[in-house]
Amino acid sequence: MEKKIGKYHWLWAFIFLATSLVAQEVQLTARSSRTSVGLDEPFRVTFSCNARGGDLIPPSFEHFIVVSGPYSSQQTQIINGSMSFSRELTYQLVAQEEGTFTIDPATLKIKGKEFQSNRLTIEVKAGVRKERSQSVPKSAGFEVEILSSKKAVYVGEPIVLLFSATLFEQVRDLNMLQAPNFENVLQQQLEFEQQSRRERIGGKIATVLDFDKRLIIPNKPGTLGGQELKITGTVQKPTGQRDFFNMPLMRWEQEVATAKIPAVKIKPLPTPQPSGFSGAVGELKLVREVSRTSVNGDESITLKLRIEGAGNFNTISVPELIPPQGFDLYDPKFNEKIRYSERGVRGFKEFEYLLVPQFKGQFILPQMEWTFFNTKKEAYETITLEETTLTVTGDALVEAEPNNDGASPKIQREVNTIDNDIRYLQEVDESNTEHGKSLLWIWVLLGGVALGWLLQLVSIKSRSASPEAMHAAMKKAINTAWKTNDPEAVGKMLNALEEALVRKGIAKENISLTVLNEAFGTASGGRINALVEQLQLALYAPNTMVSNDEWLNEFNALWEQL
Amino acid sequence: MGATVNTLSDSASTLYADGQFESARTLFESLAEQGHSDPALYYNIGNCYTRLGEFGEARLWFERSLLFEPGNEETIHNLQWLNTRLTDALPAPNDPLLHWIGSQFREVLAPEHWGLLAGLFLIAALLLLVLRKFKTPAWSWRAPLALSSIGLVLVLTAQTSMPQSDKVIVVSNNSYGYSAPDANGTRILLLSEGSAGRLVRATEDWFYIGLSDGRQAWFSSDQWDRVFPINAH
Repeated sequence: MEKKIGKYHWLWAFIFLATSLVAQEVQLTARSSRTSVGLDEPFRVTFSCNARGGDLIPPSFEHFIVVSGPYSSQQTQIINGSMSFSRELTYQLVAQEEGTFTIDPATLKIKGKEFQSNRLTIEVKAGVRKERSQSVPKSAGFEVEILSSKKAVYVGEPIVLLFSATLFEQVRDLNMLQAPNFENVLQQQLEFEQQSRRERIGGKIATVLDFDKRLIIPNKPGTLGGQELKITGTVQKPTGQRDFFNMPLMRWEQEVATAKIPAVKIKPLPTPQPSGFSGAVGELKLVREVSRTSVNGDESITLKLRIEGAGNFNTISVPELIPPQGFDLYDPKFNEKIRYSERGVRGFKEFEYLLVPQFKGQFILPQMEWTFFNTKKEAYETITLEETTLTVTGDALVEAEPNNDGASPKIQREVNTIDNDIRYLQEVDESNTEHGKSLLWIWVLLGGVALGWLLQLVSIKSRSASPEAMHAAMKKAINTAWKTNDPEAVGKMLNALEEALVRKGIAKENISLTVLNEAFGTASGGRINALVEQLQLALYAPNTMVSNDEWLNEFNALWEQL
Repeated sequence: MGATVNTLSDSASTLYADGQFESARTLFESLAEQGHSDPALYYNIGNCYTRLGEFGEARLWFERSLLFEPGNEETIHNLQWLNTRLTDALPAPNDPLLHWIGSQFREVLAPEHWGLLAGLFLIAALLLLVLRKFKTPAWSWRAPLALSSIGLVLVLTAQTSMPQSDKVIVVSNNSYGYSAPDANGTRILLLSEGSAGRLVRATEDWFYIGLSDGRQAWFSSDQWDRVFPINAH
């Protein structure tokens, strides 16, 4: 029973606390450690609210740079049964420019509702800006200077920016608030060991620390630099008090220093640029290494084509090999080793080719040329790799094709042409005026041919209808029937003779020797009469036939006369 | 005419070699205006325009040259060179089948040569037919029929190989396409110099053009020129 009561007791307490929290009105406030600050003087802005949940969104801090933060903290207090809660978000800022600026309110979003803090007005004055000089600084714990390795460079030529801090007090956590933001440059932070040295500046001993190095490779002509960078550091400052052992008490304070990037002139590359120039700038070499120049048929050659030295390796590409004939060339292996240092970008890029011989003989590795801009000589330089003769021996391979005279093995070479311009003019043909002219005359000619065919057809028709044609056709038909032993051949021949005689005006019933003699003469008349009688006899008494061929010959002879 | 062509052509070539491309172009174009139709002449005009940086006109003249001599490697090279620089230009739609067949025939022989060949066969056929009719009727009809058939095929080939093209090219810096043949109408397209299309129909001031991506629009005919017929625009 007691346990139950205990449980209820805590439950009531929880409900009471929760209700009191919910009932509390949400408050969001902003406050600043200072309302009037100097340039480069850090100050704090704190946003505090009494709500537990929700998202606290800070403003954009326009005209200010966040040096550190946000630092968050929260606090719960129970005093006389009354519970209060607060949480804070703190930023350390420095102003970017002089003037009076307003920091926009922060926003708290909780359960779909939005709460805003008050605005802060900050007055920024000049006066705290520090100038580097040989005199003793007034109160600054450190100063920063940016040094450039060169005042003028060509496009593609590297520059090193050295960030050097002069520390008048103990300083830690040196940090760049903004990285240099250059356009059209390749920027690379260099790895190096920070080094410090002691120097006397304005009668005071200070530590000079090189804390950052950056390599800059410009891609376009113009002027680089001129802008200011802000660097923060935590400086150890005396409090003016001493501890139990009479040692001065110190505290760490954050300070901001400003440094200007020196202006560097980026010169364009001289014009006109040589035709083979592809943008490589620096102190470079093109190297072609051949593992051997004489091989057996079953061996291979390794060829390396390499660009090495110091230059703008980020944009350099190794030229392609003009392959020798007589070898199989495999896809090259690409090797590169590039190191960024204060001496620039150094290293190499190379293609490694494997050449496998296909024929016996001598083959030429063609000459190669490569142009770059030498920054040391300030002039374009063309590297020429001379021809190299590769000799392939061994019985496993056949000879390469001999020359026409057969005197020596053909030394083959291949020239790669790079077309980067249009072809020249062509010769105009003065007689060429007929292109695309009408082909009407051809159609007229075609019409003539068609007419010729029409005439042929008319001629065939008329010829087939003429008596001569019929006469010839009849003779051909009789001959065909006779030769094919047509049983009706005798009848057909007799009919043909009788019809022919009818056309001559002699009726069938009037055929007699007398009539025929009168019509054709004695000789022919007698022969016609004899042939007719023999045919009539053969028609009615087939066994009396003498000779088929004799009758046919006689018929053919007499037919022309008929 | 021959001497004039030679003189003008030589003068133009000399001007071109001296870098006076505008004067060279004027001379070459005067030859084309005189009716001298030679693919080499069109090619030279294209070269002048290329040197003058007028890539739309250059493409037009290279296309004209290729229309008459489709296999000319120098013209193909220059056109390719130009196309790599006309990166914004819309490519031409594919040729219709008959135009393509014609260009294949032209690659083998020029249309007038096809015509000449056809003429030879037809004359031989006609001669045989006349002889058969009036001199020796006993001759077979087979030889004239074969010659006539070959002649007929060659005539059709010659006719098909006659240059024909409905291709049009943007010769101004750019050209707006409208939904209707009206400059106050809705602009629906913008094509850059050297873009090509097919002429679907034309009015006095407007071309209705089909593009390779299937779109069609009305364009001001001032900004376009037809590949063929030459000087039509």
